[in-house]
Amino acid sequence: MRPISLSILAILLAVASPHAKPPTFSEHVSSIIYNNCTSCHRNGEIGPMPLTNYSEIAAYADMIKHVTETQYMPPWKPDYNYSQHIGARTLTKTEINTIANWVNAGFPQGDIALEASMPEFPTGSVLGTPDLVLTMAEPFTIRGDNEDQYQVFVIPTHLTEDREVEAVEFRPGNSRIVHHALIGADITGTARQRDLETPEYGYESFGAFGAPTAVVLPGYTPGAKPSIYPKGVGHILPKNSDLLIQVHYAPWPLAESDQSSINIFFKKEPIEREVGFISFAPLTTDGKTLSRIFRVLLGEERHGGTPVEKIRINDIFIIPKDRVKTFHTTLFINRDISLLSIYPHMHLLGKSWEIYATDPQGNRTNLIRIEDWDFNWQGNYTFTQYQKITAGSQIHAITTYDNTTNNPLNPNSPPRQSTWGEKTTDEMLLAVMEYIPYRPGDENIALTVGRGGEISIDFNGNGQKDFADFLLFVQNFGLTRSDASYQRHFDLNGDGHINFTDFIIFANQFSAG
Amino acid sequence: MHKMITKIFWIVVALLLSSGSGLCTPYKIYIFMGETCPISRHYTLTLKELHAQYASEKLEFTGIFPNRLSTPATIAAFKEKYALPFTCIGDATHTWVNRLGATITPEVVVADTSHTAIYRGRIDNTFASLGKRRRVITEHDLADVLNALKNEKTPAFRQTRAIGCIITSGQKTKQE
Repeated sequence: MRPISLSILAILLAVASPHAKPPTFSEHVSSIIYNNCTSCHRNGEIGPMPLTNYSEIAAYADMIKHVTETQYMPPWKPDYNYSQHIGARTLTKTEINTIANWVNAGFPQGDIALEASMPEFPTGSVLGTPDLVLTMAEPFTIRGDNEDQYQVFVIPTHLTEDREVEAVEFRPGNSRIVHHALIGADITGTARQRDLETPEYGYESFGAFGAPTAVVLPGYTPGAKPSIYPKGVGHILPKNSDLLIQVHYAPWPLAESDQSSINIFFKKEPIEREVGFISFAPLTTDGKTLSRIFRVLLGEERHGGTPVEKIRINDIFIIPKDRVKTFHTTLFINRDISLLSIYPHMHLLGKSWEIYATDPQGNRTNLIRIEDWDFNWQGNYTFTQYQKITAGSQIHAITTYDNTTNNPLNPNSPPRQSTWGEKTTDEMLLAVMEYIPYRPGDENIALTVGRGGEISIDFNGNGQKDFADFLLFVQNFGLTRSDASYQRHFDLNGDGHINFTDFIIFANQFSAG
Repeated sequence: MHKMITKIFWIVVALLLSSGSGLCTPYKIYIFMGETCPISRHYTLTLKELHAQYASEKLEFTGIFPNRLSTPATIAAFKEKYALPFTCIGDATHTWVNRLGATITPEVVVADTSHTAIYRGRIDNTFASLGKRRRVITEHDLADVLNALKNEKTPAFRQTRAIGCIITSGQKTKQE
């Protein structure tokens, strides 16, 4: 106990003392920037200004202070205090303050011997050798007119049998312009036909793939790591299917080109539970779905039918001009399921999301909240552990749209009424969730990033989960990636922060026997 | 002392320039830009269009690069890559930044024949804030000023808030 009390005293003194030395780049700031910013902010990646050494970082010191204080960077849209998802790109209050104090002090460099080492950024696959690599048949050249471009590319898989998928890794060909990518598979030939009907490679589609998808695979956002499905769980990529990738190219003033590829890793062991989908969707009031896409998204074709008993929406999906409109959509779940991830999707009028589940006893589980929806930062958010939804639960989505002139992204000026559709001026209300049928013990399984394997809380390696491990965990509680004494194996969900979320995982693992 | 000399230098320059024939001195459109600033990059298209439409003997465009890492080579590379049709100069010591009061890249300062700023701020309202790109641009601030000047009207001083990368100022020496 003694060293702990001494260190607390030292911290208190450091905080209280008006003569405390300002933070320096080498000792305090370099590890924050290198571990949270540099994976995107280096040459050839999407982050525009390289942040790879003192000079480059000092040159943007005031800007870095501003974007971290306003939490514009690192980009992470979900409310981190509402629910936890893996790979969260967030800084702690302490880290943000450290940067601010360093800039206010005139951003001193300090002793270069104390500078943090640069993490190793993989140049190839982060997962290993893929079983199948599918590459765009030819480079695609963007218009270079400062407008966003959303292009769907159709890549035949040539699979002669259904294959079970463990992980999908999108590899941008030109990281400067590829902003994000959605990945799916089509078995109807619709997308292939659409590609033939356009003169250019691929076809333009803003809202989604513009074709029915047999399966939707995890997509890509810059800075995110590909997720691996847990043991016995995965997707099935159908034989003869065409892989569809919808690539969002960021606004760019030059006509650059891109040729991206996708690494696919097949399961080493058989899938026991295939990943299915359920989704919010604004059904028409007579209860009919809007298109076949939803029948697939709603999971009718897996696990003997969808676990969604019915969907209810409080109003017809029309967003009148000059109005801020909120919809309340409810899914009624008829059996026990475990949720893996959630992918909210709306367009430019979209303003906010809140999604939570209530069980028959009235207990609430928060799933995701996004206060400041940004179409360009949409993504698939994997929960830090399976979210059990019991039979008889309801999942609620509260979605708000701003169709006034106060919304700078409003595609119409003056505003015009909007409803469901795939065009930029249309709207959507979709939150696709990956699920599997529930099995006892699911709630104790953490969903990790990367090829991490099973989580272990046997920190001292004595072969037992015991009180000594608990003490070790407590001693490391509160540390973040930028702390010198941070050790990855205490950060059970791998989000860079050893906090309450990890404690819940620890407690579950501990009580799991 | 150094600051004082700089100040006197600029006063002398201003006096010399303004004592000449005002009519011969063009309006100056100074555009503060950063080679690695994405919003500066974004506006290269608009600036080329505005230059094509308005540049003349009386309306002279100059790009100013205030990033402390800017070099003649990085500026030349940016000018070439985005085909900027106007003179681009470096300002790593922030002489122009301080003189014209720029704080952001991209930010424009339009100065009249007596070298007084008549407009300072954004090029247009494309960006409502960082990352919020307006789909329909409704305010063309710089074009409005240039249009007035082209039509021999001198608009009253106006200032708008530029959205972009903050110009880092107040740097100390590397070793503290």
